[in-house]
Amino acid sequence: MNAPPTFESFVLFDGEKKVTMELDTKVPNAALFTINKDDHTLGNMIRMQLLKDPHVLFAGYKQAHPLEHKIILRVQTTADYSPQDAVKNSITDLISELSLLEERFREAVREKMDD
Amino acid sequence: MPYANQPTVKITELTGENVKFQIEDTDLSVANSLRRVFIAETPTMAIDWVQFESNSTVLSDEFIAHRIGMIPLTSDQVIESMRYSRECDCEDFCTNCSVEFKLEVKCHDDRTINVTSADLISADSRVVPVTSQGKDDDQPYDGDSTEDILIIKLRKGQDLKLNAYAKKGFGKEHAKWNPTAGVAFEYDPDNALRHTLFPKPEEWPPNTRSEYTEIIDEDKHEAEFTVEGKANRFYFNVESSGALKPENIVIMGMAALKKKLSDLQTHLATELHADGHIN
Repeated sequence: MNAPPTFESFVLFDGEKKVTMELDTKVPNAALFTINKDDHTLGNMIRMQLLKDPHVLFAGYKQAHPLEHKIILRVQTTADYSPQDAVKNSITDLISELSLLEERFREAVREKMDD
Repeated sequence: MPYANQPTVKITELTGENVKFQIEDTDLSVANSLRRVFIAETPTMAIDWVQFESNSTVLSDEFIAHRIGMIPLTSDQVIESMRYSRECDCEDFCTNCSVEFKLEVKCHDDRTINVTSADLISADSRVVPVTSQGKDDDQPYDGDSTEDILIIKLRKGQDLKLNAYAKKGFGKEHAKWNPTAGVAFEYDPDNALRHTLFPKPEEWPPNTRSEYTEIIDEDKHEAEFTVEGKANRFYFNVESSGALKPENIVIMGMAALKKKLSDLQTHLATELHADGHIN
């Protein structure tokens, strides 16, 4: 009866920003990114990719409550690198990995069809 | 691309109904995200707006509307050019964001009439119920069950007249937009990573994908525990409901995931620019 419409899990509200960043005051070079209307599909992938970067000291994400459609990503980097750059580079790496995967899959389909 | 993976794909089977493939040299998180995207974020067409002109059947309007919505519609050819209705600038519906359907059946004789998905008439011949696909040719789509989907049965004097619009959507919004009938996902068949704990490994039947065929005869029922091991090879079996061809589910799913990432990157860039890169 009180169920919110399901599209609210991926459609941003009016005026709601997709990503907001908050600098962590307690430690240097750390930031908290709040990504709205997203879930583990992106969160886990970005976190894993961040952990591969040797300049990233801390990377973790959580969905604070399953009924609230947003994830919080916390990133801490070494002094010469900023968390924003780390996240940007991780997303770029993931996009290139998926592009490669897509291309290889298309090729594999073509080969399979030719058999 | 400093720390990106270089994954490889091997397709083991490709039919009209499902595609079996393996991905190697990628992360568990990427493979899982792909699985989630195939199920919930790959767009298809499904009926999402129904208007009843007459319904004297034994089922209520919303019951029939729900059943009609669950009928899978062939979406391969139109889905990429179709817009989401909520993003379209037309008032109500247009051909860019929807496909119109009509259904009109009245039972005049004494026998029971089965109203099926074949009675759903589409305004666009590219988007039809999957069971109506290629009914002009002699060759059935998958050779298996090309029987039309039963919507409701009518008695003498009962009739059903409605028109409906099919819209673009994906599984996250409602399961009717899910293009898959199931996505089988497996990794580490010999349990070398101990991601699962068998209380008695010997009781479990041997895995067909196990690399351990020689050792199965001896005492070993699972592989040695590799402490620092990481899941590397993932086995997928994507079965389609007919809405999209199985290889299209995978390709469009990967494209949807890429789009999510690049949209996020754009938003991140605008947000950081607005802040003036405060460090």
